[in-house]
Amino acid sequence: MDRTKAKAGNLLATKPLDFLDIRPEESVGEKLLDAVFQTLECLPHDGVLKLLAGSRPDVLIAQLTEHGYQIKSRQEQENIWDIEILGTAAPDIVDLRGYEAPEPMHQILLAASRLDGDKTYFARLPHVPHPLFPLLRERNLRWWVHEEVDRSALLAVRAAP
Amino acid sequence: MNGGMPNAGLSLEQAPHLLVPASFFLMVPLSLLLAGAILMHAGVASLSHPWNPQVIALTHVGTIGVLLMGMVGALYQMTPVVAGTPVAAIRVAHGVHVLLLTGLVCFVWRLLGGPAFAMTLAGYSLAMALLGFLLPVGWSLASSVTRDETTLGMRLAVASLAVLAAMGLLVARGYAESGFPDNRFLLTQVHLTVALLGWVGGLIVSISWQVVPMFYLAPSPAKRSRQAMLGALVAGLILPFAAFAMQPNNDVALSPTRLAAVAALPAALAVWFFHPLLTLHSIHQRKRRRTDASLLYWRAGLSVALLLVPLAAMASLADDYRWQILFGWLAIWGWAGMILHGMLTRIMPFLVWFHRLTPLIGKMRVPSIRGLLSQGRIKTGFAIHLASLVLGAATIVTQSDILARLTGLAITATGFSLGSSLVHVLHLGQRHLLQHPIK
Ligand code: HEM
Repeated sequence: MDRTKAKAGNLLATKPLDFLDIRPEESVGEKLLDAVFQTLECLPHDGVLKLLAGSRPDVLIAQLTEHGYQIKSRQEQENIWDIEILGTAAPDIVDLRGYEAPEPMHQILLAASRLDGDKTYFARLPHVPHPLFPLLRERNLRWWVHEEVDRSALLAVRAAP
Repeated sequence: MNGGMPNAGLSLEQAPHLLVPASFFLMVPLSLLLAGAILMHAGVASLSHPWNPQVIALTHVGTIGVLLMGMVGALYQMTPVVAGTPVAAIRVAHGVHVLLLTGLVCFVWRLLGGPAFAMTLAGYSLAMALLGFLLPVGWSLASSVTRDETTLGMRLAVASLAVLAAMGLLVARGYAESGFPDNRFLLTQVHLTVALLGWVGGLIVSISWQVVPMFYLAPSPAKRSRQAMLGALVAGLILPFAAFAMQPNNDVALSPTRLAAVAALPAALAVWFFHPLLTLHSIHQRKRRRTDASLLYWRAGLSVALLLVPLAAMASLADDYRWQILFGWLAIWGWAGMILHGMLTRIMPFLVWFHRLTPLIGKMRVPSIRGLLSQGRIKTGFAIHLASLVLGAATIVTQSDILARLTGLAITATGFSLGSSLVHVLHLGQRHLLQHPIK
């Protein structure tokens, strides 16, 4: 299982966005379920877990739905499925992919300026917004970004603890 | 997954101050005024025979004063964003700016009849300016872990700049009365190939993969197309060097200079055929069809690019020297100049918005970048640029002196239009900052 995550010790518990490439483990049912549930336990209730799968993991999706998670699955390429697991209290993900630069940046900074203490703001963007990061840091915000297969991005922003 | 670690990535302090790119961008309209003055003063001599000193002077006001200044400013701004590593010793950029300007002025002065030492001074100034630019920017690009095609294309462009400058400086010694090298014509041919295709083409192509999707929501070309274009570009830049191994001969058809020109064909096709076709197609397919006047420049520049391969063929096959001048005019002012002009009308408002207005977001209503530069101003700039392009082409065909001077007038007007737009945007940003100081 390929797992790329920001290792940040005690910060791990507040990390609202994580990613697992489950393609190597897909055939080993239980191991896969364990790994996914373990990762979800580390996420806050408003977190999002992204999975990269080789086929649609129907059993996993059924189990997750039973536990109250919302699942979005989409086939990206022939052997690539994008699975998005939304935590039980995950907010709406704002879709900014249809806006030209720098409108998405404008909207994110505006939303981030209204963020309550432990809330997370999620947005989909047309690409990884590199110029935004120094502006977020300047405002003492923390962010996580996941680059999708189609090179668009999912961004999570939180106030720094 | 990238996390927002407190110390990871680039910080605002590492990104160049607005003054760095802006000071280079402001040199573009200033150089246009110089180009206009040369055309109005020298008349058709500056658009006549390729070896006329006035033609070489006008060419370099275009290539160094307009294109290089604009592209260097853009690279200072984009390198940290694209490569993820800051440009070291960014303050050196101010020295680069002064040296480039000094180099350009001395270069032109010599070619318009100034003393030989002006070219010596130009050589030293340009060499130092380019070292001051290439070392930190090249280092930042080379040490970047990013391996995408945009970064590769930017590296190729920067490497091309080093090569073309070395060749240009070698030939320029001739104008400083230190003697032209034996293979002057071959050196000049490869110099202009590496300059137009490697430096200008490499940067336009690779930056377009980043900015066209970002600013216009047009789909980016498939990875395979991007890789194929880069491959062809590299091949077409390396092959012409084989001509240096050839013995000079008197056979015009198979001279090393002509073979060097033909060997650049893969790069020419990538930059002036496939890239414009694919980009025009992707602009046509964009998701949100909001009218944006800066797209006029992209469309015009890319359409002109499609004329350049046939024109280059005519320039190297036909005896009539006007083909060469027409090719150079359309490549510099119709393709690269047009795209650069359009990008400046987009990038300058973006930079002012980014540096001056983003700190105010959430505290007050902040104008969008469209509010910083009106579509009307952008369209006017385009109309004047297009008029000057057509007038210049007509001058080359007819060799009319009056048309040449009118072209100079139109280029001067383009310079005033662009300059006033850039200053207007900077002024708006500054006014906002003064009215709402950031505590
Ligand atoms: C360090 C900077 C540069 C120097 C010192 C330089 C020098 C020269 C010289 C001396 C010539 C005349 C060759 C001769 O008389 O045999 C020349 C021609 C030429 N250069 Fe440059 N150059 C520089 C930068 C550039 C750049 C950046 C470009 C394009 C982007 C460029 C494009 C051309 C073209 C197209 C010609 C042919 C002009 C004609 O046919 O009239 N040069 N260069």
